[in-house]
Amino acid sequence: MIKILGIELPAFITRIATAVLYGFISLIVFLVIPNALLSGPASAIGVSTSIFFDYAILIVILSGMQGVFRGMYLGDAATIANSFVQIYYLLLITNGGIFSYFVQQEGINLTIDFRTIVYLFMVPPALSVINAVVHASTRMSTQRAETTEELIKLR
Amino acid sequence: MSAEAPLITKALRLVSLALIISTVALAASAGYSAYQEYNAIASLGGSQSQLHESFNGTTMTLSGLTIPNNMSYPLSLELLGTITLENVHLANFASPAEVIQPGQAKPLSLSIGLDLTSALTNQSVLRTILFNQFHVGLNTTISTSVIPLIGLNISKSMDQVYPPLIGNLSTSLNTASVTNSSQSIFIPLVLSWNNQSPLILNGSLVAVLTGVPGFASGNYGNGTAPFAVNSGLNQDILTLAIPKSGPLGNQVMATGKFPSGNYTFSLSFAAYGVTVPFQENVTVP
Repeated sequence: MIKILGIELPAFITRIATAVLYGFISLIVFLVIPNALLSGPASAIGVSTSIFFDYAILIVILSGMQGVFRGMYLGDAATIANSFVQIYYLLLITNGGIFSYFVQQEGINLTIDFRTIVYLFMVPPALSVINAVVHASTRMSTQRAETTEELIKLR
Repeated sequence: MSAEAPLITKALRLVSLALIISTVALAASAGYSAYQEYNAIASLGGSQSQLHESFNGTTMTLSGLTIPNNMSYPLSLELLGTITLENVHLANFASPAEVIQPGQAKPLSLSIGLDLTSALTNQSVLRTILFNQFHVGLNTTISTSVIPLIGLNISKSMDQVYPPLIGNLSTSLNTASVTNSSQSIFIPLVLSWNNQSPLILNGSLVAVLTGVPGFASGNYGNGTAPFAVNSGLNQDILTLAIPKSGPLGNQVMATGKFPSGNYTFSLSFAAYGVTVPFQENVTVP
């Protein structure tokens, strides 16, 4: 059977498809929707696409890697890296959870503090980090057991 | 041994999913509520502001604000800010925190005691408020929050211009009084002015007669009196003592009246430990 990056060809094709799907969803969630929101009515807030574009692309790439290398250490590393980038991206795009801008029409200065909601949004990526660590450590112990089983069979 | 993911990772995935869904729902409802509240409060703090400030002596009263809670959550509310006089900080203020239940509204009013000392110990500020239009700055912030989800602060700066405390100052001389028992002639200097500002002041006034018609500038006599600047029309009479033996004294004693011409008075208003000098001319026909 042909193997690419240690993955059998049919599985590899399936994973590539999964990676494309993950990447596409990430692209929509982390780039297209925020860009549409921040270039529309929220443009006065002052967060432009250029600030978070690189991080959005990095999230898309890491999400793709997660899909391709699922069940491997590289996949776990991609998950952990993706989670940290997502947390940083959230802080960046929300300006730390505090938006402040001047409403010229009314002559007032408006400050919105939504840090609690931002912190709540950070919990899922943080849980993903724990998940990846658990995955990796479980695989380590399982592989050792499987190797032992295989050795017994050989005898 | 199975290579399947352990139960804990499945549980973590489920928790993550549940958290994402609930946080998105929470953010959407809080965001919509905040938008509704912003529309309500912006109209209060905006250009057509209902916030009314009245200023009387050393007390500023803020009133006329009724804050509605258009949100789906209880709203915590506070009114806070600062007051400045000619850009010098006078006072900070903060109303007690109020909680407004959804669908209800609460009127908000606040009285703030002002300590003018910090501003009026500055000579240029004292001079400005005495003789020029002056600015009272009011920075207010309506601080609302849905604890602990979202906070909404709406700040507005207002600048109120007031007329001078000593406006339309006019001076005149009353008839001099001469007594045999004294070595001086007493000249009553009458000062009249209009204070249309809400501020009042107490201090003292020193007057020196420095210019007499037909004579060189010099000190021809002086006087001191308490000087109170009250609201509305004011009048203060300050009596100067002129030596009988001086050039002006001799003329007044000889003719019984002031020689006609321009008289110059150097005046100094003292209050809050600072002195503001100014000059006034009186023409005697």
